[in-house]
Amino acid sequence: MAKTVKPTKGDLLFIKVKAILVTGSEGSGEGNIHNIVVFSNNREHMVIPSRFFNSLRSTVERVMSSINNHDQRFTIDTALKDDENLCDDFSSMGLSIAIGIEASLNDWKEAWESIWEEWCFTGEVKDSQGVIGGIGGARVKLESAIEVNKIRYIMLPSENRQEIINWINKKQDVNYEENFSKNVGVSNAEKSQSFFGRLWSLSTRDTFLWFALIIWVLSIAYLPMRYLFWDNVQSLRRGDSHITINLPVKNPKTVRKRLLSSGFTLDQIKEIPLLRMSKRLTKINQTGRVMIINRNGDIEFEITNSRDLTLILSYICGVYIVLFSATLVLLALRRESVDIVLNSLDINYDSVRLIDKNREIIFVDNIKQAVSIVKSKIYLTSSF
Amino acid sequence: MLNQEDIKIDLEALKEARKGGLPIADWRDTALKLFYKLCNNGEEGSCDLSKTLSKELAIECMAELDSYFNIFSFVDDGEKRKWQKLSSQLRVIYSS
Repeated sequence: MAKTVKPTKGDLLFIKVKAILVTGSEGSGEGNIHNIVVFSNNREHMVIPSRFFNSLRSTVERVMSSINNHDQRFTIDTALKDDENLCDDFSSMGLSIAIGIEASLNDWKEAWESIWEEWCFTGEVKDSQGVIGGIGGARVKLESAIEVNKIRYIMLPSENRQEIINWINKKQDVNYEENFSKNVGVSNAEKSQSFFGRLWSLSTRDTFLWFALIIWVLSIAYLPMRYLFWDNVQSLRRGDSHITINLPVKNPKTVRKRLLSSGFTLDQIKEIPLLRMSKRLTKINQTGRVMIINRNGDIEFEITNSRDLTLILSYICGVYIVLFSATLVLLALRRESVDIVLNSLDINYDSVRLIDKNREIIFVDNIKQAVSIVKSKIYLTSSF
Repeated sequence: MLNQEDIKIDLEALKEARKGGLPIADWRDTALKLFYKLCNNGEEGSCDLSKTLSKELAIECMAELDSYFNIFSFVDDGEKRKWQKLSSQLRVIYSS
């Protein structure tokens, strides 16, 4: 068996979904499978061919409203050609478009890329709540989908269910079983995002969080720099004749080395009471910084700032690091529990299984239900 | 030889012209410039479009040129045939 080629990141921007449209003349049309392409372009909704834009605009807008997303924009190629003689309207393409948009916005697009050819959809998105309404020519569409070898699942509106059952009953040679209110528990524990994956997706969810994440990284970089390398950094900005030391002095030897390297002589250094641990400065519980200046051989001290802003900033950074990390961890843990609750929900749907042909006809009422069924099938398939 | 950067520049110019609306001549000029650049390379065989254009660029060229021809229609059958051939090539690139 040929090994499945793993899709690249670029491929995942192009979601393919099978839709069925009827071509020919009214009453004697035949169903054609179209591999429509849904591409997130982030600028404006576009349809290819563009002469069908007005026919599909309301469908796309209803889908976006039903998932409460008004920011994303999509280019949708209906795969229709100029000379195609349609006797069907585009509204029945709504369910396919909805699945394409949902897949491109969610984390199951990679899984979808490898199984999309097994699925075929037809159904009208009736309103902004995502209700799926019945379609015309359901029987013709179903007939054409059943004949395509790769298709295993055909999704239709529940409103067309009785029509389809009646049609199957009339056919004597079809062996089928009917399932009512079938329950499928979505158990995608293996496919759910890892803890670190959730952390990453949370922290990069929008521009504001990206900004917060960058500040968090900078804070983490700043803390060791302030505590370990701050003296060296300060020295870079000072001339040879003066040097700034943080108070209280914790390591006189290091300070002596810095003074020597800055041009102070040993005799001058010996005169600095701070380093001799004289009572003069050690008695003062002074914090901040002292500037030691060599004025033509005379050593002067100047306490330049008792409030060390770099130290205060390091405290702020520390608090920020802890708060940001804790918030993200809590949110990631909360999302995990929400996922588990969602995953344990049962999905009810009616279906008909054509035993000899190994096809399942699934009837749905709304987009949310349709998406849940697709996801459950993806995870069930991948877990075996 | 077709250059991806040139195509990107022409495509952006076409988008701007379409959004700008008037003067219409700008839209026509930028669309035809991109169209013939893509067609000539495809026909002369000097460049395989699928090796030059990314999927994103292919679908964006397709959407913009399709939008142009939908409004302005074709000058003659030759232009129509060229577009049919080019659109098939572009569709293959991003649908594959």
